[in-house]
Amino acid sequence: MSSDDLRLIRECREGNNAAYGELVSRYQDRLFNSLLRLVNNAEDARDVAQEAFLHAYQSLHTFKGDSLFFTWLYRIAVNTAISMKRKQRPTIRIQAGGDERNSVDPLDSTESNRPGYAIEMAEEERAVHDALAKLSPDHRAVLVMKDMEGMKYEEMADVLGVPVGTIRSRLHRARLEMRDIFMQQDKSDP
Amino acid sequence: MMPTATWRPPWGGSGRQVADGEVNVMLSESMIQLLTAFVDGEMNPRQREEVMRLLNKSAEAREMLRQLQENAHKVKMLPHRKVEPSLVDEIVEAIAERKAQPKPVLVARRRWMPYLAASLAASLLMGTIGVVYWRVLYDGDKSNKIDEPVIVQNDKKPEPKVIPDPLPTPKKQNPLLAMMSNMTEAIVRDTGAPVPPEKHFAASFRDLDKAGKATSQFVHELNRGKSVQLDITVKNNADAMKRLQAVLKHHEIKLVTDPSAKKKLDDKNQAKVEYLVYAENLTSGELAKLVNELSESYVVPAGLNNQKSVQSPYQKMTVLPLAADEKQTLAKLLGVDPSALERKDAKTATKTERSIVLLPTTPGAQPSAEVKQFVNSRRDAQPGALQVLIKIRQE
Repeated sequence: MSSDDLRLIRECREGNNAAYGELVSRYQDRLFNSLLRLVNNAEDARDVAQEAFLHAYQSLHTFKGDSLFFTWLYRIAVNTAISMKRKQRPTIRIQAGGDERNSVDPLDSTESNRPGYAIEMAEEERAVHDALAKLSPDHRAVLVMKDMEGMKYEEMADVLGVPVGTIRSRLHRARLEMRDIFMQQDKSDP
Repeated sequence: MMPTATWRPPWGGSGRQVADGEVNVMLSESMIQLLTAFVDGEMNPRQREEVMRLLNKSAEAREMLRQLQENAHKVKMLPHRKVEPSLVDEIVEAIAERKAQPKPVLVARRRWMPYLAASLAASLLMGTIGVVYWRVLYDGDKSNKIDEPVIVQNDKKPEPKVIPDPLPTPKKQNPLLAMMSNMTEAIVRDTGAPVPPEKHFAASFRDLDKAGKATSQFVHELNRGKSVQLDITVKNNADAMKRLQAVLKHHEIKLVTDPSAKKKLDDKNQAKVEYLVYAENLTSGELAKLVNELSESYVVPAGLNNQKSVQSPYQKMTVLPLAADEKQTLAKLLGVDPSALERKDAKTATKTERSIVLLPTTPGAQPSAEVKQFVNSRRDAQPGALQVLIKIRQE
């Protein structure tokens, strides 16, 4: 763990709220970005991130430093997100690409000059986001953790509190499901 | 479309080419599992070699891997979003307003009361034992010493003899407080503040025989809900499945087997198959009996008139609540709507044929006639009956 994180955590425990602000500033975007893919819309992702940071602050005494602070925070956030999705009605709200606040940042400045590039990117993002939204919360979570966060099976098992075998089989099914969804998308959108 | 242009399959080329003279290999479930594990980047060198061999000989495998990797790449390349406006001020303000402090939350719900009471009782008991123990030591010490006389020196008053406090001030934290502090994690979890995720009951089959120490806990875990998943690892799939069939027969439980699963059972190379067994009219007691028997060693024929004892191939079991996604998968394999898995309780107990089904081993497979027959024979849930999905996998 970064010694800076440790210092900030120590200061938080001593009651320095600003130190916690520093931790929030450090991890808020990364956390929000993952949550956005888990809960489908920016508003919910923001709420979950906020709740996760507050819970984490109040549970800071239980943080033993065995894992990275972000992994610990991520566990809190993912569990909050999954339980929120389970409680929600199975409606899908897709916001990707259509929100000005979340305008697409081109990855490649040269490519981005090509006419129509930004629209294509937004369409593609929408398609991927749509596909993720069709997965169950458990399948979506493992896919986001693996492909976006690059976590190992063990880390994911730790975050979700399930055996490694379950992670392996969830990922397997999630990948096959994604493949089916993309194939259907391709058929319907030639 | 997305930046798929930057993605290239690991063996070069487009991944769509089919080399001349290749054998078109029908991809088995285990092969597909290997491919997804390859995409995950979590496999040992032997598995990696196996994948490379498969990719060399099968165009279909290459195409599937190409699709899987491309999809993973799409997820990975999703644009990075920033949270706007920043959460920092809101959170710091919320903390200040609530005067929240990073300290243990001691607000417990009532269902923790028995634990609290038990902890208090245990602490008191420990404290009492500690006092008695200290006293014994102290008395023992004292009995070995001769009291020194108090010497009065001229006009000086004798200094009062310092008698050690029989209960010296503890330097360490009060055990009661320490115990309460340890409890806090669980309490925090109960009050909504997330801490470590729920740990599921897991036991070795060695502890799950009739007299096994884990059996009663296992039954307790089963009785916590109406639907449960048992993740079981075995030493050898073939032996484990044979043994399961024998035990079910012994308990007069009919095993309905999907033809694709049956084919796997007859296959010599079934090490990587994950078997899915589903039952919905067995009680926790009946399941415990099955597990008891599966955990015990058994006798197999050896030669013409001989027999030999064989150790159980069953190794470990984890009990989990049956998750929503597993229910969806299950419903697909049974060919029913997920809502149809939720059954009404039968008003009266009736004797029904007890049967369980060995489901197809291929995800997304259409239900066979055998599986449909099982579905059609479903009845309302008998009192105490559980919905159980058992996953059996070779370790």
